[in-house]
Amino acid sequence: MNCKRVRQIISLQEPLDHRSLQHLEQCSACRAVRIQQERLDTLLESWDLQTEPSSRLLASVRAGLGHEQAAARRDGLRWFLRQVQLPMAGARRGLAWGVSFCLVLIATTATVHHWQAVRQQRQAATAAGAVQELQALDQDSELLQTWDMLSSDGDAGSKTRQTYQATP
Amino acid sequence: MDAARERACMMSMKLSPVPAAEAAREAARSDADTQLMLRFQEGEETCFELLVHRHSRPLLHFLTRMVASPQVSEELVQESFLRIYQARQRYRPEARFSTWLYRIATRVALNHLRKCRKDRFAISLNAGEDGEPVWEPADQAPGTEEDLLRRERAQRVRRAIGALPERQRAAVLMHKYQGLDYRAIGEALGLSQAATKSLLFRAYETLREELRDLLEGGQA
Repeated sequence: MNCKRVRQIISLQEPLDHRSLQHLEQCSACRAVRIQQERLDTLLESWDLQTEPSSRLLASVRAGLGHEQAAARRDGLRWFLRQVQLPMAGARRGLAWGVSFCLVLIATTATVHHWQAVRQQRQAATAAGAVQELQALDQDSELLQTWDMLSSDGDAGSKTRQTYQATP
Repeated sequence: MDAARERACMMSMKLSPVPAAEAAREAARSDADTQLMLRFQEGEETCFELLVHRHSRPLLHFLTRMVASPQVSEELVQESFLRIYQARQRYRPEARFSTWLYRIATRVALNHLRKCRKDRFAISLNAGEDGEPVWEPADQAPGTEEDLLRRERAQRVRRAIGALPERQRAAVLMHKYQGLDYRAIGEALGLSQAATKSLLFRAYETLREELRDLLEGGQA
């Protein structure tokens, strides 16, 4: 085992295996490095921090999260508006055509419905008129029949009347 | 966050079924923080607050050592948690939550250092010389020689670590002070385990060299 490998093990504070220990027994430079590393560990531990997070840290994190959420909502709205505005000219033209088409469609449909309704009313009115005419004809026919009957009775009556008139 | 809420959250975590997964990911999945993160992903905002509560202190220490300024580091802690919040839907329980957390925090710190490499970091590194020390030893009782020596040693350590290249510094801080293993450090820095070991080895070699007088004098 070479010095570099042993020094790496020492520096990284990994457990020394049998071969490393054998090397250390033979190499005074590596033994010195080991002692230096142990002292360095102790020295590094002297850099102790007692800093505590300030009481406003959680509050500021919360405030930051609030800003973040608000920004996310704003970004969402901006994204939507961007999507709408991206093909600006094309979108406006398309929107205009779409609205016009819808208006024409609505107007046409309303007109067709209106005329259909008017036609149906007329047809209904025509049918009702025909029925009335037929009913009137039927009444006329009944009247004529009645008239005929009265006419035959009328002849007898006229004869009676003539007889009555002829009688002084 | 009060203890009752924390207990309730932890109790409900124990009751929730752990999905069967690969053996390699089982440890990560059974990690309490990972469970909290998964529950947060499902919409439980209180779990995120619990994660902030549990990790803000170690993260603050890591970032304070990393950027050499407690004031800035608190802002970076906040930014790190905001990024976690933003990326919550992308989180996958393939590693421990702390690994993911330190990956994000390291990226935040490195971005910050790159942004103000030339001015702010140099100023803060020399802050101790201007009579306004950025860090003070834990138990300072001014006046005694022992305290002065301890303060000086801490300052030397701070400067030596601050002088390391950024990735080496992050690796040493995660290894020495945050107790992360090579795999976690490697994932945080985007390196393989072998590369991480090599990076750490070089960093410790540099530190031994920089602090040779203290180490040979036996003052440590």
